[in-house]
Amino acid sequence: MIIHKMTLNNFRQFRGKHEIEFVSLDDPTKNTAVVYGENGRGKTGLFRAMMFALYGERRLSQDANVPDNEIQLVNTSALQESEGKPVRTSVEVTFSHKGKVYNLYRAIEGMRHGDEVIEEIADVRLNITHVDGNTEIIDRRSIDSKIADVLDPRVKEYFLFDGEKIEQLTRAGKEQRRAISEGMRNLLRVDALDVAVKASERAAKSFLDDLTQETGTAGVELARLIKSLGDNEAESNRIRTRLEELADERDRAYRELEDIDKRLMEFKEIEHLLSERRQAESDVRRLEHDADQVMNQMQTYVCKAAALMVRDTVEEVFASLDEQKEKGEIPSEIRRDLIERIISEHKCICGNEVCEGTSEYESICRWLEKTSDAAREDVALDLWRFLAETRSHFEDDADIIKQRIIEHSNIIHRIDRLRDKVLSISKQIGESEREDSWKLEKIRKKHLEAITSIKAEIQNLESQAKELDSIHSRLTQQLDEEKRRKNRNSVLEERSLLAREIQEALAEAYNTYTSEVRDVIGKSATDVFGRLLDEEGKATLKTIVVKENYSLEVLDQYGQPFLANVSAGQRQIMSISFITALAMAACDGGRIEMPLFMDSPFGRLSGQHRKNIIREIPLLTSQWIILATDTEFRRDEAQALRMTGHWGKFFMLCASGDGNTTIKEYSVDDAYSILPREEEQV
Amino acid sequence: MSKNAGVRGSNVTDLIMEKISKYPDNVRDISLEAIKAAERLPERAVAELIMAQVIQCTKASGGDDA
Repeated sequence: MIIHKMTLNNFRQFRGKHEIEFVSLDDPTKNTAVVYGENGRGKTGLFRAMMFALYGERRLSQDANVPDNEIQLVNTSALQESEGKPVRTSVEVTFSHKGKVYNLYRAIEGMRHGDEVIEEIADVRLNITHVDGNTEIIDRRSIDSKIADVLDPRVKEYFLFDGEKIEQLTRAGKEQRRAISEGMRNLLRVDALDVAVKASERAAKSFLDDLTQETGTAGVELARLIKSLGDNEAESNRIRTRLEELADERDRAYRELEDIDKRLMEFKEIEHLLSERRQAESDVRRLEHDADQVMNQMQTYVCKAAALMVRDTVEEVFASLDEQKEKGEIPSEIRRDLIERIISEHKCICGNEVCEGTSEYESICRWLEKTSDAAREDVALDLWRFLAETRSHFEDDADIIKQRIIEHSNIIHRIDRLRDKVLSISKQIGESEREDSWKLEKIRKKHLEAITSIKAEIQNLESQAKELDSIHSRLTQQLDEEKRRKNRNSVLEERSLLAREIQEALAEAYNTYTSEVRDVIGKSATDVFGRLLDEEGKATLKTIVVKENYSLEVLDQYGQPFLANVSAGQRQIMSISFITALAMAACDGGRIEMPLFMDSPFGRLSGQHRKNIIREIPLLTSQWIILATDTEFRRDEAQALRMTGHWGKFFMLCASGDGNTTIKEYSVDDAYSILPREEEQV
Repeated sequence: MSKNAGVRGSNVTDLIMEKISKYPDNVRDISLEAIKAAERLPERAVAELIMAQVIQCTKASGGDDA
């Protein structure tokens, strides 16, 4: 989709008729337009006009806290001068999509009624000119579905990047998770699946209640298993929710710490101490991560270490089994079941009779005493093979385990030394003569203590969650065995089992599907992230991950979380990358075939980040409309945009003196000359 | 799901069915019915539909109604 032209009439700040041609029909490759103006001049109003024309919507997501009666589309001056008569406000948009040209017109009429303004849809028209040149007039009732075929209303908001949305995504915590989860849910259309999952839980519970009431039957065990599984899942969910709350608390505490550190940095006399402490704390975090990795490696050796601890016994058992194997006792030459058959049938395999009391019979009975049963032989052979393999690596395993233990203890020792150093520096900072600095230091200490206690609770809950997972696997296994039991006594058991399976199937579908899409969007966001970051960022920040709880995480080159150390500008790039990835996913994963509106996107960005965005975004989307203020779009940015060869249009929103806005178009060359240089204001 | 496959071009129902292909036919059929119903009905109504389907299914497989 490419928007060619938009005509506004008495829309918001735009009094009378205003036309904006975003792309020149002579040169569609120049797909970037800049709308430039101070805050409040109506930049976002242009996106609002677009949403109104397409869907008849008066609200944007950013209006969430604005009451309905405060959102007014009809121009206020026009209303004042209408002397109580209705005023018509309209937006006409001409756009092309897949070779067809759409001309869409939507109007409302507004009238003042006491203190309020009443607005009602007055007209909507759509004409589509097809590739063959014929124009089709669309029936009014079909207009919404025709527009939805071009751009699904559920994903429309991904094509507006406003400062608020970007900022919301940069703040780790509930708000960020809510925004991401909402975006992904809309994108995935998982609402129906979610309802189905909850309905299946309700159905399964109802059948389970029926089964539990039926006492004294074999269904009791089944009911117990299903109930235990349900309780286990509920407890796991409770722990997961608590873990999310704790992660929020921890992130909040870290942000407070960052804030305190920034304020402390203002005290020049302790600046060197703060830098030293920051370095030591960062080293502690890195070493803690190393220690965890060594610990994980050691866990893979637990079984081998256990064998090493009983090395003598292992050797003894192996020698005994080996001896039996050498003697042909395991596996025995003749299997026990065959000898038992000869004795019971009194007939040898050669066909001769073997009667009780004969010497042959006695020999065969003695033979039976020497043999062991087949299952025991198999176990003995398996044990022999396992011990043979284990003892051949005894020396290597011992070396590796020893190395890991030494490595781990060295790291712990270094961590302890660094912690002592941090303590000593903190003490010096706390003893500073500046009262305000030691007060801040005291608060910092409290936050650190809170973080330590939160981390301990997280660790404890994670281990409980692990335990619950293993109980869940055991219960599922038992339930599977119970399912295989034939001749079910009651139809209630059948129903309960089937309902439980439906619940499992839907939950699995939901979890696998959302996890795959999180992965796809994470990878896509990572690609964009790599293109937009400056060199310094590229060296350290590697991957964006959308976590299970829908929070965003940036990983470093070692695959470790980096969020605490990400700068404000880098976070903004992360948000832009994520929203771009959502927009790409909404367009089936490739180039964004929709106009991308970016409202004040350059806020906290460094010059290099701005240039990267300017260079890359025109390549990622079919059309880019930048809504920029005079503080963020200057000659530097204009020059970078000119270099892309994609910049075609420049509009300036100017105050007309009566509270309204007029739109002036300038050529790109003229625009460059009127834009301020660095540090200049318009 | 490949990175460039996107998520909207594919039929969501097909993608979901793929995820539960290991389940028996009756589980898959009722799950799919439930997802379709959930597009237009509230949770309680979908739960009732699932229950009705489960009862129907267990009758068909020869169980006696309790």
